[in-house]
Amino acid sequence: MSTESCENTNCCTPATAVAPAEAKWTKPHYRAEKDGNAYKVRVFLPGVAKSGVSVSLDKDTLTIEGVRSDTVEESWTPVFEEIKRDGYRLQLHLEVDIEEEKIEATVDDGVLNLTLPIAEAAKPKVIAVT
Amino acid sequence: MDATINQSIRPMKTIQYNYPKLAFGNDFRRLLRDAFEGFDGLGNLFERPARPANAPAADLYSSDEAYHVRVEVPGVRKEEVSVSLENSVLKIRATHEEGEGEARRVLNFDRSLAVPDDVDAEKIEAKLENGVLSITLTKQEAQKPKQIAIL
Repeated sequence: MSTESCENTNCCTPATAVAPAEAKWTKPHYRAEKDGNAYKVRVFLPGVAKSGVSVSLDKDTLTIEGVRSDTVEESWTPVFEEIKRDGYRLQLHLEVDIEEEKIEATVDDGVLNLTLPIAEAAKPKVIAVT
Repeated sequence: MDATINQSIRPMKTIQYNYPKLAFGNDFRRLLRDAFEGFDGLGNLFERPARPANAPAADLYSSDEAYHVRVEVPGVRKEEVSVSLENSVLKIRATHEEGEGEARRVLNFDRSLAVPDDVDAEKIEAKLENGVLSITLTKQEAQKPKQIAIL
């Protein structure tokens, strides 16, 4: 599994390139690990509610987008600001066949938990010696 | 002649240094670094010191009646967060453990923020939503001038 950096905000899709005002994304922190017959991916999306997360799979590219639901009132004066309020976007290239129908996604406390089961075709085969 | 001193008493002010936000800070350092490889003599002169890896990003806003703090603590539950205020320093600590054995993971967050000292310590509210901790620190009511009688 490898990642594509999306720091260049115009790289992702033609759609985002057309609308530069909407094309500001932050790449979230994430962890991916193999757990038995599945890959487990945890994407840290603080400030994003369940309804703000979208996960899509196009061929072998998994795209995760998150829109923040926490707000800051306009009338507040910033003393200091470190949190980026752009949306999140992460693209993961899957190098292993995944059972697309069985992908599970849950969102808890600002963390997206993805379970990507490895397809039977991609599992190692034991060949019996006769 | 009026024998009273009209004096407004304010608590001692915390002195805070706001690091200048210079757009060229990073570029300037890179330029120096490229020119003199290994040279890092300017240190943090132009930058806010880097946060340690376990210090989450935070925002501090001020409004008429309160200060508003936002801290990003994804994956942490309400009961795993502690917030304390001491000497105008707001301390936020959170530890989240999950899994067992080799799959055990610990998330640690530790952040201290210097907050202005006109905070009413009795009126602090915190809530955790979607991995963002929001703290509202109500400002003290403007202190009225206090009449001190001369005996």
